[in-house]
Amino acid sequence: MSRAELNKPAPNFTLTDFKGNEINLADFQGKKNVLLVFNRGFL
Amino acid sequence: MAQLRHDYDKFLAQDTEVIVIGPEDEKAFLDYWQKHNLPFIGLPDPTHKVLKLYGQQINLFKLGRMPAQVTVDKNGIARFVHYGHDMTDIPENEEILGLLKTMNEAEAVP
Repeated sequence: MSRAELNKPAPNFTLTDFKGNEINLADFQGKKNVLLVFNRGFL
Repeated sequence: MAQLRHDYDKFLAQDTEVIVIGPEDEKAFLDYWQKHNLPFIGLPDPTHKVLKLYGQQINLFKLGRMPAQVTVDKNGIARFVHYGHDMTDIPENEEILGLLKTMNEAEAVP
């Protein structure tokens, strides 16, 4: 696995999860770290 | 994904939420989450809104560099991008967990 160091603000976004909850990345700020997993597809 | 589920408690222990973003629709996410009993947040992004945003703003997605995982700290800073070696590869959680631990310890220093 390779990794790149960024140290830039993570672009904020709001998406609705599959349960209908609105998820805003900025809401986690000051509370939790977030691991964003970008998935190409389940299949 | 199975590996992430397996280590989910370890991510929680590092004060970390796991959010999976993918191009499938809501229904596909729901089916997959139920079938595999996944504990983390699943965000359908069928219009590739967030994928494009991250691709443009932090130059994240180069061709053939998927899957990718981004570690965001509590200040909203993207600290690391982890790339799989190929399409089927999931970055090893232990390395990411180690980084999270280091990040948390750094924040705890007065």
